[in-house]
Amino acid sequence: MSTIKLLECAEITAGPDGKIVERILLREKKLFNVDHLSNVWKAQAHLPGYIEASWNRSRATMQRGDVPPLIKEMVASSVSIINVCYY
Amino acid sequence: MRLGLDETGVTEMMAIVDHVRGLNRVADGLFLEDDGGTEEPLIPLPEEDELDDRAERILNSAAEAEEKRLGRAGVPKIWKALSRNFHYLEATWAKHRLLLDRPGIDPLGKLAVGLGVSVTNGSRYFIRYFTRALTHAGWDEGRILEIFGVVDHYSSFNTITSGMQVESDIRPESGAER
Repeated sequence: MSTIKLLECAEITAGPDGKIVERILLREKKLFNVDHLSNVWKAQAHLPGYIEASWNRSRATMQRGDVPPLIKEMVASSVSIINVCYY
Repeated sequence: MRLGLDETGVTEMMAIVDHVRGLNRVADGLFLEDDGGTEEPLIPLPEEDELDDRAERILNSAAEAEEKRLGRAGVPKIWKALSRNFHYLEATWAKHRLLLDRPGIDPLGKLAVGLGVSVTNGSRYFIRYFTRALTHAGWDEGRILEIFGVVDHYSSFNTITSGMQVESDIRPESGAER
């Protein structure tokens, strides 16, 4: 059980055009083949602008550049192992 | 792992994380610096005449393999530092070769994982080691910085999810389910 209430998609207003959630859902479907917003995003939703800032960094670091996606995923997993992050 | 690693690949990646994490601890604990460093290691590096033949053979092997990896001659200090304990050197060098030099997952991916682990652990010696190996393999500064970006972003996500005790709602398909 998280220490904060996780907002549902309909409760989240984020981004200048209000479409951040929609964009994240599209990517989650592509990457994880799931139709829901992951809890890591819901956990950020109480603070206006936080999801958008994280989403922009996620795009910048994970989706752009020359390093192949698999290598980035391996590094991300390795960092999470070292940080003992069960999520 | 979503992008195509099988169980062997995942285990290989985990083994590299395990191995590099240990080496990070040792290099930092021994105060090892790269060639430009001036600090004395905690345990002085042995002179050649202090080594037994078995350790010398392994260091010669390390010199050859590491020159290919790093593009510079000489034995990295980490291997010299371990050479006062032959059995430890032998086992650790064998593991290093197994994980970094055997065919398996993308060799550049292995080095990138080594860099990511070393940055996460703040290991100055191995940040330089893996950065040098990646640049010798052809990566430019932009790609190196991409790895730092991934470390930064996932350290951030790790902080959020652990700090708020967020339960995982995305789990990898387990072997038992396949």
